[in-house]
Amino acid sequence: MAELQPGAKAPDFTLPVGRDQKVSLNDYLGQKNVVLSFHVFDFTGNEEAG
Amino acid sequence: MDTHHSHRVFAQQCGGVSYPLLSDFEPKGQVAKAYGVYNENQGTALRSTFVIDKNGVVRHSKVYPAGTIPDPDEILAEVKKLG
Repeated sequence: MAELQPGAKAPDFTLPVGRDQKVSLNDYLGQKNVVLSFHVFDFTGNEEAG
Repeated sequence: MDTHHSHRVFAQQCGGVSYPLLSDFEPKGQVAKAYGVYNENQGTALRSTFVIDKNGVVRHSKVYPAGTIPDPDEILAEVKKLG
């Protein structure tokens, strides 16, 4: 499996932030560039957008 | 661990902009799979970074070897290219 390459459409996603909030990639569409970073904390997969 | 420090440094270099920390856990690894960075054998995501423009198009992607820290300057340079 290879990571998405430049030119590919970034798949939208909705994920929880803490307990009560959710964030979607589409929240930023048309407004901000997004840096999506994957890294592993313990045994979960986490991402950050900024 | 080093990831906390590297992301704090990165956020500061972005002008102190805070960023949301998301959990890709339910369903496990679904977003990592969508981006092609899920390691099925280990049940973890590959350490990787994607720069996505305002049209939702991937403009830069990089997978990092385990134990390495993404270079914030490299990512910032990619973001600056987008304007």
